[in-house]
Formats: sequence, structure tokens, C-alpha cells
Amino acid sequence: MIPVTVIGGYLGAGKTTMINSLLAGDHGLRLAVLVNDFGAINIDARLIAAHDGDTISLSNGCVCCTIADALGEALDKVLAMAVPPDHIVIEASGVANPAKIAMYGRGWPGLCLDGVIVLADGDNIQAQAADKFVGHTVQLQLAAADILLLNKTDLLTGAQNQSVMTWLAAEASDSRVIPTSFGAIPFTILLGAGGLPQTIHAEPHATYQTVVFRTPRALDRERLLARIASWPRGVLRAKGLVRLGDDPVHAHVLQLVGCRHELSLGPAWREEVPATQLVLIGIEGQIDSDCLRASLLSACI
Amino acid sequence: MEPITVYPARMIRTMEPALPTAEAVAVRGDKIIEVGSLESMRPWLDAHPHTIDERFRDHVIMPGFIDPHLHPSMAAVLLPMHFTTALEWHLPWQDVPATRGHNEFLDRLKEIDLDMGDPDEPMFTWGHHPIWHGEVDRRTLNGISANRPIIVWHRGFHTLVVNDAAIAWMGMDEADGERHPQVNMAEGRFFETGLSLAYRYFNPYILESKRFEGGLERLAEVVHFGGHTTIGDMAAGMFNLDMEWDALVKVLERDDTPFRVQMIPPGNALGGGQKDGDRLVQRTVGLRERNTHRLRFYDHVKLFADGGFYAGLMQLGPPGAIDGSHGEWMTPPETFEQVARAYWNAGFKIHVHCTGDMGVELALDTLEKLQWERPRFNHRFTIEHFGVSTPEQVRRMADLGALASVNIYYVHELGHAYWQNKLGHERASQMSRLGTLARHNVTTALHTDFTMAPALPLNSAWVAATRISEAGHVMGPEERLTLDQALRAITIDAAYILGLEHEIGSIRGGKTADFTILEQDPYEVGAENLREIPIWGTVFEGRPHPIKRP
Ligand SMILES: [Zn+2]
Repeated sequence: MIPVTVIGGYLGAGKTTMINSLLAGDHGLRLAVLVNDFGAINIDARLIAAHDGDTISLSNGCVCCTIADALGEALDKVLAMAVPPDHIVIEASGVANPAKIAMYGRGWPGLCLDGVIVLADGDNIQAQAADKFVGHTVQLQLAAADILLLNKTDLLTGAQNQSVMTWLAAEASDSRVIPTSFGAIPFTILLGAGGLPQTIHAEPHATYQTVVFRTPRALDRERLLARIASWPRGVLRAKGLVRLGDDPVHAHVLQLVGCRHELSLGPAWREEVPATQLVLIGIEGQIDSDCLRASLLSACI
Repeated sequence: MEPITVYPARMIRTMEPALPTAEAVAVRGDKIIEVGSLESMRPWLDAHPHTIDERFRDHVIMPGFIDPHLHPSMAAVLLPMHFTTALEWHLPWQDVPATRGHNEFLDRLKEIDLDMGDPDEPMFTWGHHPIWHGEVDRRTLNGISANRPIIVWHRGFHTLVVNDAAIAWMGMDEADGERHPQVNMAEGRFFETGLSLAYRYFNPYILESKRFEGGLERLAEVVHFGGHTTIGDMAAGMFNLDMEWDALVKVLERDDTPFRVQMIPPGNALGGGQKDGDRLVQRTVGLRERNTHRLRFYDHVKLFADGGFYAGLMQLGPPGAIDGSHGEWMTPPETFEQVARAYWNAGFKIHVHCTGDMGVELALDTLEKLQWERPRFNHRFTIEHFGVSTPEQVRRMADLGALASVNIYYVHELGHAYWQNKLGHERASQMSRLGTLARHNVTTALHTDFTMAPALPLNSAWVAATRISEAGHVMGPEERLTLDQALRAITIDAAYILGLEHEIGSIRGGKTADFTILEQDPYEVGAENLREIPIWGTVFEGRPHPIKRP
């Protein structure tokens, strides 16, 4: 299954800037990025290996394709590539409900949903959410986010920033809100991949921290889910294998993206020694690694 | 030079206020020479060789009917399917009776199954609606046939239901369906984004070129059967322009095709991706190089505001919908404005799909801004569909010089349902508010958006002049058109919407000889009986084309 990340948000929220940085980024992943229009995509000509109408292939292994009103067809094209991509990113149109686009991640054969990232233009989001034409559309977009990036915060004063953060917390009550500028956010947060245990710094507002948890002990399913639900909002991503007390045969996969998490059946342990191994990424200052480890330990049987 | 042919008739309704009725029309080649009487046109006949053709002696001649907004490609996909609609449909090859109630619906499916020869041929049906037919699911359909793939398509295309045999025929993995949050495998039901999973398996079959061309042949029959001589393809290239264009030229650009098609392309991709105005305009202008005799692109372009009316996705202003549901935008307002500006400044005539009053509001706000920036006269900015609107918007349309092309069938098919479930009586009875448009002198055409409504102009005129809903109520009598206004809206005023009023739409010397030949005079039978008038056939560019009776 290829993971799918949906990037949503209204016009001017910074989706294109983020997509440009994903395409050119040093993340070591072969991404397939599906966009509505090449028009605004700005790819360094030296990086372009081939351009055949609705697909641009980059020398770093990434491809960018246009959706042209038929997302299913575009996904099938990507899935049929000689070497399928490691990860698919779908840009939702400015008036689309990203939750609807996420259905393709959940339901299209060969794909699984990684997460829904919604961008909001810090300077304009409140006006947009009250607009006579698109107000409701924008509110739906905010509500669809697993992780909400409040972009263009460099244009705001500290007080403005605070007020829009407070407003967003009420508007999109579940999702994790991260202030940022120029969509500058570590790829590990966006795509949840390559999460190596290091502290990652991203300018200018947030600093991210990684927490690693390992134990050979089995965890109690109910208790684990209850603990996760009590974690602070600063936890943005978590991923790894879990040894559950109620299933000695299989590993289970925990995946957390912002406000949403799921625990699904993984591979059988076979020769491997069963052990839980999780990587958590969060906003520094909003998470405490000792507390999180203690929380996980208390779910052990 | 060819001889003149004179057609005397029982009555000629010219739709020209300067000479509303006449007794004979003289035609040379594809042009009208004169309309009047045999005596009045004597100087022409004395000066040039002519024949008197008596075939329409007992008929009524009207200008060829025009539907400025339908969708040949959509029809080509749908017409090979079996109709199971709650309302009756008159098709050239079949009168589809109204199917009402759950049992009647199932009986209809059984009947289609029995009628189909090949026991393995998939049965695609269109027209199911839970309001009238109740719910059906996979098990119900298995009960109709265990072997034949059955696909039941919703009237408004938002769900489809299949049986076991269809799933096997599709070659779809059951597990893929079970995983999808918008597919209910146990019920065999695909909805919203789940539909694209079904299309993945159907498209190669329903868009296959032989089947698609067969569908276009049927569309050509439908268009002729309705008495049209001109139609507008109001989103040319909705599936794939090159594929559609090749099929359209192959099937319609024939000597015996009795109508022309004005091709109006979408101005940008749906979802509103593209914004580079100059590039879009250039591409749209370039389409004219394809033009053939019957199929022509002009300086018209289609843009989209809010969602579909049958799907209930129109953007409503206060007080919103009874069920609290919200509409959708097909284009972000900023993109809409940007793209509209590019076409406006390039001199295009812009048609905007607007279904709810907020959709109309967006179109008018944009038009007002463009008028302020760069005033244009005779710009023909047209609101298409016009489901829900306010009277103030109509006044504003008049002030800004906007026109209307209205789907009036909404009132007939949805008037009662939207009264009960969505809008309440006040707004549902004032959907497609033609009377207000007429009172403000806004030039208005009727369209069917076929296959959204039957492609029968006299049926559209009947709804416009009576506003009778399928449930039998008169919905908003003040919004009725007069008989004359309704007939103008399928002839000369429809020609105006397409920018072809100098060539077609009325009967006068110098215009193209396009006629619709009726067995009765609409002005004699009156508004209530318009849709019952039998049509003999048409004259297209001077050549008679009778409708073949089975
Ligand atoms: Zn249409």
C-alpha cells in the first residue's frame, strides 16, 4: 500500500509553495505529486528529466501529474508506473473538501491514507471563513485537517498570531495547529516518513522534537488507546510497531497523524523477537519526552 | 442559380413582430427569399424560376427550434442505457412510461431483462430515485437476474447499485469495495467518491468508441425528434475533447444530419485549477480551427459557479436549505473572476452555470466588476440554468445587460420534491423565475440541459407557460411566461443567446431556411396543449427532413 497525503486549503494558503518544496526537497523519497494545474508549479528546469503533457518526471525520482478532473484515472496512472512511488501527495483544489479527497486514500485500491494537511493563510483565514461565498467551504476545509498549518505567520504581530491561534483552536477543535512561514515544515511532519530520532529545527516558529520508545513488554490495547487519547496536542506524528498482549502472533502498526490515530494489524513476528518500537514527533515545549515514555510504559501489561 | 421553392402552409408563425403570420415562404438553396403570401412574393417569382411545393399545405411552419444548452456527449453515454424514470420520456424509438413505486420499478427491470436478447449483455439502467422507487440493493437486483450484470444508475447520477453478476463482470475485487468508505459492498452500492471506483471498471465499456458513436446516432435522432435545427453543446469536450470531437464529426457532420451544433467549450478545467488567462483564451480561440459546416466554435465560452441542481449542490443564500445541507463551488470565486476577466477582455460571450442564488450572485458581482473596469455593450453575458434566484438579482441582470438561459423543467420535475425537502414552497414555486425575467425585459431562452430534461422544446415551452409540477400543482403562476414569450424562448430569443439571431430563430427574407413543421398551430391550441402538438419534421438549410415513424 502506498501512503497518500492530502494537502488542502483555500486559495493563497501556500499549497503551491509547499508542493514546490516537496518536489525539490531532500527527503530521499520518490514522490508522486498530483496537482490541479502545472501553471503555478515552479520546477527548476535542470531537474526535469521528461515532460509528456500531463506528467513531469524529475531527475530525483519524483513525478508531478495533473489531475484533469479525473482523480481516479490520475491515481491509476501513477500506480501503473514502472517503479511505483514511495508516497503520493494530492493537492486538493481551493474549493474542494479535503476530507472528500482523503476518501481516495482510504478507498482506492493499492493506497492507504497517511494524513490530511490543511494550510491556512494566517493573514486572511478569519475573513475567508466569514466570506459570503466561500465561508462554509473554508470552515469544512479547516475541520478536515489532521494537521493544520497556520501559514504566513511572519506577516503577523505576536498579538495577531495569538488571536488567530485561539480562533483556530475553536474552529478546528481536534486538529493540531502549527504556526509556520513559507510552508516551512519538516518533511517528517508532512509525510511521516524517514522519522529518525533527531531533533529537527525549522524556522522560524516551531522546533520539533522526536521521542523514541522501545520495550520488549506487551501492551494492553485498551490502555494504549486511552493513553494516546490523553497525549498533549503537541504530538504531531507517531508511528511504529506495537506488541499487543491480545495478539502474540502479529505486530500491530500504530499510526498517528495530528488528531487521528489508528492501530491496525501488521505483519507476523515470525523469527523476530516481539517488541514495541515507536517514534513520536512533536512540537518542542509542548511535549515532554519523559511524560510520553511514562504514559506508554503505563500501558504495558 | 437554383430555382426558388415556395412552401404554402396553413399557417406560418414567423416570430417576427413586424410580420407575425404568413401564408407562404419562398426558399432558394439554404436561404429564405421572402415570407408573405403567393401574391406578395409575386415579383420574386416572376423574375426567377420557381416551383410551388404543396407538402406543407396543411401544416404550420415555425422557425427551427433551438436548444442552446444540452450535452451531446453526456447523452451519447446515457442513451444506450435503459430508462426507468419516475416521469415519462418520449424518445424517438420508445415512449418510456412513468415508473412509480417499488414494485413497478422491479417489474420494469424484469421487463427490460426479458426484452434483452443476449443473456450476458450488461443491463445499464438510468432513472432510479428513492423518492419514487424506494431503495434497491444488491440482493434485490440478484432477484432480477443471477446471471446478467445489472447496473442501476440514480436519476441525478449520485449513486449506483449493482448485482453479483455485475461485480463479477467488472472484475472487481470484493475486498477493494469493502475497504472503501463510500462503497457498501453488502448492498452493492457506490456513492460519492466511491463512484469513481465503479467508473474505473465501467468507463472502458461505456466510453468505448463504437458504443459512444451509437449513442451519438441516438442523440441525433432525439434532436431531430424534438424539432430542433440548432443546438448548443454547452461544455464541449466534457470527457475528452479529441475523442468527442472525432466522434461528433464522424456521426454528425453528414449530409443527412438535419441540425447544426454550436460548440461552447469550458473556459477552464473544473475545480478551477488553471488561472493563466491569456493561455486559456489562446487555447479556446484555437479551437475554431476545427470548425466544420455543422459543428462550430464561436466566441462563446462556458464557466462554472456552483454545483449541480439535481444533485442538490446549488449554493443557497439565506435562509439556506430545510435539511441544513450546503452546496458546492465548482470554481473558487477568485479564479472565476480571473478567468472571466481574461475572456471578457478578449471580447468573449460568457455563459455561466449558476444553479443557486449565491451562484447567480457570484456571476453578477463579477460582471459588475468587469463592467466597471472595461465597459462593454452587447456582451451577452448569460446566466445558465437559473434554478434559485431573487427578484432583485433579475433587476440587476437587466441593469448589467445579462441574459438568461433557463432550465424550466426544474419546476416540473423538482418543484414538488424541493418544496417538500429542500427549499419550502415560496422558493420552490419561484425556481426558474421566467415571469420576472420577462417583466424586466431580460432576453431569455429555454434549455433542457439534456439529459437533465427531455430534449423537447415544446415540452419546455409548455412548462414555461403553465408551471405545472409532476405532482399536478401550478408552481408560482406569476412566474409563467405568456405563450408567445415561451415560443420566442425556443426560437428567436434562443438564437440571440447563441449570438446567431441574424441568421436563424425567425422566418424572414435573408435568414437561413430552418423550419420546424407542426401539425397544429401552437397559438390555436393554447399553452396547456403545447406539448401534445405532433411534429411532422424539420427543414434544415432548405431541405425537408420528415421524422421517421416506427
Ligand atoms: Zn449543462
